[in-house]
Amino acid sequence: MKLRNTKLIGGAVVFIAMALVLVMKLPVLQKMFEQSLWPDMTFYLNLGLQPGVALPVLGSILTQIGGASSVLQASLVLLSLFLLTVVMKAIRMSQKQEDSWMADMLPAIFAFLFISGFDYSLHVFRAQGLLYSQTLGLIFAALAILGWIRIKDKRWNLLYPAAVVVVGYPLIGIYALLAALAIVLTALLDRRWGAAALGVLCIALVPLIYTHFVFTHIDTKYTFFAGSPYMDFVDNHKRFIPLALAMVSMVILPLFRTGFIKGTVSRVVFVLVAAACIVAFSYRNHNFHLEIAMQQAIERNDWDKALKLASKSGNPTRIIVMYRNIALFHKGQICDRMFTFSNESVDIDTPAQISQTEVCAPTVFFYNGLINYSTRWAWEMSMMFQRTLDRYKYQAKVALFTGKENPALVEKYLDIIGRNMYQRKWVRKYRSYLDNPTLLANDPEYAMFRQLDRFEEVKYMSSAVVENTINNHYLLQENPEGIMLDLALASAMTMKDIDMFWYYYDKLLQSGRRIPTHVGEAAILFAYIGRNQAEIDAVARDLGGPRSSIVSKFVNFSSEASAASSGEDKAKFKEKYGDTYWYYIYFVKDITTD
Amino acid sequence: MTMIKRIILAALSLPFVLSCTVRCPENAAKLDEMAALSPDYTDVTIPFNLSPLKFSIANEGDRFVTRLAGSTGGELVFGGKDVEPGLKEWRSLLEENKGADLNGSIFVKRNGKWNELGGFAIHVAEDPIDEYLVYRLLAPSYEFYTAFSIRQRNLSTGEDREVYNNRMHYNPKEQQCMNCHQFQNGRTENWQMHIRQVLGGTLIVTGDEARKVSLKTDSTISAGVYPAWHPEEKLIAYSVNKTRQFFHEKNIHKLEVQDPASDLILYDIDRNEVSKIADDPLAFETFPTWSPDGKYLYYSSARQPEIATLPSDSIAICFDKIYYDIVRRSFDPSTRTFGNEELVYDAKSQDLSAMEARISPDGRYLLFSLGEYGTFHIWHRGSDLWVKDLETGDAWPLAEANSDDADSFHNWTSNGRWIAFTSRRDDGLFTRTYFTYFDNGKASKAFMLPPRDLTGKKDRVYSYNVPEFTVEPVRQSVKDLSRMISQPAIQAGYASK
Repeated sequence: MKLRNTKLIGGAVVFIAMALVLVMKLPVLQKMFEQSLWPDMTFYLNLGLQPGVALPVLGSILTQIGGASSVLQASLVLLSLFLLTVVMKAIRMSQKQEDSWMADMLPAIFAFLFISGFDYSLHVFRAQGLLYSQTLGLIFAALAILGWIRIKDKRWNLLYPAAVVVVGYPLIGIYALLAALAIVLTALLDRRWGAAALGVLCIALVPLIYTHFVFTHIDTKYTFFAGSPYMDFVDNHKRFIPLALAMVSMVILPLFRTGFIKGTVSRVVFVLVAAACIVAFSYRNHNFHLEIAMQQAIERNDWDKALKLASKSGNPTRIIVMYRNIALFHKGQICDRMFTFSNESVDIDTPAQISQTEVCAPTVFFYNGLINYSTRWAWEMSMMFQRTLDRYKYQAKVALFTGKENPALVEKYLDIIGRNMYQRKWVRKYRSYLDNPTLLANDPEYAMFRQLDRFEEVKYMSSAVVENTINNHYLLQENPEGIMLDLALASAMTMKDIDMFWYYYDKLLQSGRRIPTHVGEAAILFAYIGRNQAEIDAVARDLGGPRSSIVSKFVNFSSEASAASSGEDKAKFKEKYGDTYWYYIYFVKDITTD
Repeated sequence: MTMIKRIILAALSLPFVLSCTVRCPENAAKLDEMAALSPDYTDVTIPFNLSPLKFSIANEGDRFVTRLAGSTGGELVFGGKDVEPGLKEWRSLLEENKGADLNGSIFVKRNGKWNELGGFAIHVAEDPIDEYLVYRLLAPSYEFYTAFSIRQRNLSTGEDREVYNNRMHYNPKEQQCMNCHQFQNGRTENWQMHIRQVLGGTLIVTGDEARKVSLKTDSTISAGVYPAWHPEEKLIAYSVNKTRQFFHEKNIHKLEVQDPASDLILYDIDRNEVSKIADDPLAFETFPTWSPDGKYLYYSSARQPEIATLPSDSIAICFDKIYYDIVRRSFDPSTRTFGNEELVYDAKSQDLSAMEARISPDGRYLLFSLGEYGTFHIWHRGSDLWVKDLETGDAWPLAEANSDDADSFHNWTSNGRWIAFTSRRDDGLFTRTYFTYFDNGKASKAFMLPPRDLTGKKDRVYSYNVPEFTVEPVRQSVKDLSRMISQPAIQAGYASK
């Protein structure tokens, strides 16, 4: 195999590995778009004016452009990484290193690892446009280094590092400093003492001058980190190791005057290691990706899709359980199907301190009809982290649905949302509701909200833990009807609250409605636990007599349960009774909810 | 003059030249349709020293011409939907029409024909407004507040600058809040603000000195909260509050902020010492304010409902049964002693709650907000501004200034002719600062503090709150305040009497 082909194939392998990882992360890329607002210059002028301001702005714009489809987004990410590689290549070619392709890929590989490492933290990013902003910073910095290498004029040689800092720091922040650092180091190697000294002076002083006189919105201790996502970094260092490595590799690679990954074997090993790292260190938690996809399905009111996704998790987080329940009760099936899915409760897989509330509160509260809490958490998250498109959408819908808000508030939100590319249709739809209340009345989400709005307010309730809030909310209703009664029964069963279950069970009987499967299962079980034969007989009658399918199945279950030794038969019971409430009540314990 | 300079000069003078060419259409047909401005500045009273009122025309039309003609002279004519008077010509027009009206005419071109809408007037009062307004600019969040600022508006020029922002001491694990900026007699020599959480404490600025103090002592229930600088002494009265907030599931008010306990303390700046003013365990005392002569301390006081004597969150059960009256105590500056509590405005007997007493500089009027219940009227849509004439005992709402939404957090100018307050009338959520002219007990139609940009988009998802007039600018820079806040808080002592 010719050497040239080896390089090309190696590069292709690395980029294919990246593309494969991105395919798995398509919902995440879509989520990044759904979060991304068209850059709000008023934010940057008011409170966000920090060095490196061009990066979040450009990053947000690119995220918007890629938002047409997840595939386009993935392609743009790959393109930006490819561009970075090309510029690094140009730098090293200028230094006459012909066999440097592998090394040239290093910053791009690390930058990709940074992006592919996005985990639950994407719900709480403070920095904007992160999908592209840091890669862009690296590209701009590499271009500045390339400019230095290409400049022949000695006068410019002297001033160039200073110019990079003075012009670059306000725009790309730390990346201008890194570029200047790389330039200073190469100048030292070339014994260009004047340029090196001036460069060092500028790196040390110019940022301080800028932050003192111009950029008053930055805590001075972060002066030299501006432009990087330092506000997120401080919270969770490990997540940013790949980004730090990308920065370091970009600075030191120009110092190598000879290629250092030589020979076909070395290159093959490099490519394999790089591809393995991309696959191994990318964050691909199954539940995380399911949650995002489920949320997207719920927001499209695609309940079947949400349920199909839910069925893919054998060990769901409670977020998945809550999303799934939303889909179920919107289909009118919650008390028939909620325990046919897994109800285990694994923690969300993140090293950072991120709560379920931070991940899902606006969505879960909104689709459970607690829209005051939805808007409250949408605002809290917007303040604590960043204002996002999806949070504004909840604000707009809440303002519209309550009907008592000022239409000016709805207009305000719609105007902000409408500035986003691809959101015009969404805005037109909801703006038409303002003009025509009949259209609003026919909106399926609004119709469901009207049903969920039939409750008496409890004067005080904390909403800090989402699932507890939801369950307590339904359990505190005195006379629920229709779907509210279903949800009260579902909450009683979830909370294993026998007293409240009987209370709502009686309401169900009074209503004359059919007894849903899980309610029947719970009723016969609780009657059995109470060892009250009259009650058992009564429930059996409610369920259609002793030969009804639920009663017959329960007779089998109870006899097998009394014969089983404790705990060790979980797998056996799961196989046979995993789709019943009985399995949930005996084997699903210690629900982890925040 | 070089060619480049000529080009630059020509480019700079182009807008002026263009503006001079705008003429009012002749023979325009008069319409019954009234002019609609955003913000609404029709038929308002403004001070003669106010910065230009910028507005957009909300009426439909293809082209627009606006004329502002002074009834005693002067005229400005603008083309376009957005009207942005220049500072110099605007101030000159106002100066020329002190005590008179600016008559507004708006011409719209529709289907190729010019029409004149129903006109409006802007009355120019001879009483000036204090030159500066210091306010907080923040989003309406409840527990999280990573980005907000205290700002200062020069009301004469429109210049708006930051006083301090909470990103100066960024900490992702703990936020920094700052609130309750207040100035002694509207001057910026002596003022204070609280810093909460990161680098917490109360910053007391006296002349060139600044001291950060911790006002929480073992004998008081909290650090100082709502402040009131004594008009002459280096004394600040504070309420000390245990504050709870809780969220409604569906109530339109969304949020309640209520104190399960609150008292009043007096902080002696020179002695760095706090003492108690009022600490009746069965009463909630809050929002203190001094009379202009410093001889009375006014505040709001409510009796604790029985159920609220239970600890912690029981307050949430009875929040809508807590009614505050406005009361006062006499104060002797020489002995620093307070008299007994006297009832000034009885809101409880009406099942209402009166908050945030502010006495007019001439000592005659008590201005307060009256709402359905509780303490934090900014979240109560029924809250309105009221005044009580302390000479006659009569009280009435400032109907011309009030709205259907929450009107609260009010303040007088140093001449007592202007009131600034916050209102949620525009969209029900984001508060804006409004001004009303106060003349012989009567308010005028309120007008909005001009947004920082014409369309208001810059601040559209931010609230303006705690508007405080000052007659001079804040003397410290953002960096100065950042340094002052960095210093450790000095613990205040407690004097039992």
